[in-house]
Amino acid sequence: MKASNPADEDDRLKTLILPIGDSVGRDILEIIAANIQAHLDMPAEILPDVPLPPHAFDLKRNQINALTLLKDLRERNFPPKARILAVTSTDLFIPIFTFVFGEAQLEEPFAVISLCRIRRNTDGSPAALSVFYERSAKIAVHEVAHTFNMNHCQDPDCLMKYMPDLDAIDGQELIFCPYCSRDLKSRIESG
Amino acid sequence: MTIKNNIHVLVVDDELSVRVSLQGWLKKFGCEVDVAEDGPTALMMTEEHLYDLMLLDIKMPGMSGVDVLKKVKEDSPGTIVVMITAHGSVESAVESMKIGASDYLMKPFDPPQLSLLLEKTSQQRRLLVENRLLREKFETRTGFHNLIGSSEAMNKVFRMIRDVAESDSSVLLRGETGTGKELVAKAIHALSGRSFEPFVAINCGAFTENLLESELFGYEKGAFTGAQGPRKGRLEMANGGTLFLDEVAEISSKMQVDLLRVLQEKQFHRLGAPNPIPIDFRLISATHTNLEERMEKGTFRKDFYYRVNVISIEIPPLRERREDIPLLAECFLDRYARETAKRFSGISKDAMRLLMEYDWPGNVRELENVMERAVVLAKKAHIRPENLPFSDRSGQRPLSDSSLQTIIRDHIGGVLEKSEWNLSRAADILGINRATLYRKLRKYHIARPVDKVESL
Repeated sequence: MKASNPADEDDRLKTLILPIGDSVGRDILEIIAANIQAHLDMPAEILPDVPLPPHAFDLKRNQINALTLLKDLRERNFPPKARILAVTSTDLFIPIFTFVFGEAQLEEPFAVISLCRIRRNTDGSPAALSVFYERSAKIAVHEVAHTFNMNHCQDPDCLMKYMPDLDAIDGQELIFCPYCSRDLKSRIESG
Repeated sequence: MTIKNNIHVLVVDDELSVRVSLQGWLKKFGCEVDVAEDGPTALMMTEEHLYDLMLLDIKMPGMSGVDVLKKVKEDSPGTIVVMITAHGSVESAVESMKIGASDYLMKPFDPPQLSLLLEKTSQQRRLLVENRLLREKFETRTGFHNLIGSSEAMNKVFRMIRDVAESDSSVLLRGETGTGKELVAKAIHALSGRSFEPFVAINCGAFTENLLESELFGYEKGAFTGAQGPRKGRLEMANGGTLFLDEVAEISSKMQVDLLRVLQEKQFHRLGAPNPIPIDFRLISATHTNLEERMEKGTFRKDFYYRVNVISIEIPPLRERREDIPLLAECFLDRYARETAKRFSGISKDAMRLLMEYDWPGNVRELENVMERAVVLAKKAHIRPENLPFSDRSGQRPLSDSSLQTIIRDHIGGVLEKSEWNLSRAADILGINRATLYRKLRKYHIARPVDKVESL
């Protein structure tokens, strides 16, 4: 599948936010873009949505296989320096895990996040809109940072720490520790 | 700060998607991750590398995860193995735990389970390192001032060292080459009241008579051609401390007299110096030869013998304390692994058997050299038989209790049999002339079997 979205010819460093399917609201995409711009100090643009590649959807699990979706992104045309953040409302998994909030492979410019599990609280009640926005921003910034080869961080107050559940996400501020902040800045500057 | 936990993980699963997802996920935790698609490949990789953690699928075509686990636990007991199991194979997972798996995960599992497991592995790894350090401490306790051994023979030596250290009596150390005579001398010095003063060693066999004289006594400017300035000798350097004369049997008779005088008068003259210098040192000598025989032959003076041999300590050869070989071998493995920054999980059973069976004519020094060589040559995480220099010859050789004379007699007898008692041919094969062969036949009482005498 080639060039199903308008490939940007310029080679500036930026994040392109790609909605998967038409169920991702414009408001949340704009919030994610604004947070990427603010916290990663790089432009973020929202691309037109694309349909979910059918082979990425696992009918048995009723989830999207994140690895298949990332593989699909690799086959599309994007500007060379761009980071691509796919956003879906459907639940995500990688084969060995029951679910993931987001996935990015190191040394690749692609990441994907799911809004499915962050719309609700641990007890199943709907999350307040502000909480949902915050969670989306945290996961998005965290995954895009992985595309700059950032590992998880051992600082319990850093956004790059591993956040396995909603409590961990909610307990984390949208800030990096000084080491990750400096490291990430130099990685972004060098493209 | 980015996690750099240095955990080396091996993921073994026949499903590509599982290998890829686990590899990607673990890398973000700073792990070094290798993957294997089946049991045999995994075992090959465990021979090459020492893994901290192995995530092992139970159900794989061909070799099962349980079989892989058995082998890994045998060869790399330090590797933490966690089984990955599907719903249907919980029984196998429980069986694996009995064999030595640390845990099992039912797939698909929640991400926090794996992160907890990593944390546990990290802690366990820290404990293993701590354990190794404690073991090293223990090993130094099972040793004694760098002398290693827990055998009764060595304990006897350690007791002797403690007993003689406090006195100022001369000590004669007897033992084959490589048994650690200098280490014993150093231990005596370290435990003595002279431990803060110098320990000065000299190998008497390494110098000609004249050189040994100037080396021991020192000289004044112009004492002999080439003496361009005054120089302190070893005696002077050892003042207040301990002088260790290695290979004392090699000292010439004249020098024995000179040293005897120093020991009696507690003073000496530098070569070419008119005035004596008072001296106080403790003498420890060592030899691998039979001094009593030398005395009988007249090459070693009786008076000097009694002066150096106030207390005698016999250091046993390694073949007489084989139970110390594993401890020594592991100790040298640790030492050289650290020096070469290689990681080893140990010595394989087969290699250890070879080490235990070998006769070690060069004693501990030879064992140390063999282990150093093995560490350099080893490409796998274990020291294996092929890393040992004698693997191809003495591996299965039964231990010989024969004396050297018996071996020589048997060898000459065998060559004579092979050459049908043709003495010229046998002498050629043995690399000696006919006259020497005749002498050896007489010396070792080798006679031709009666039925063949006619043709001699």
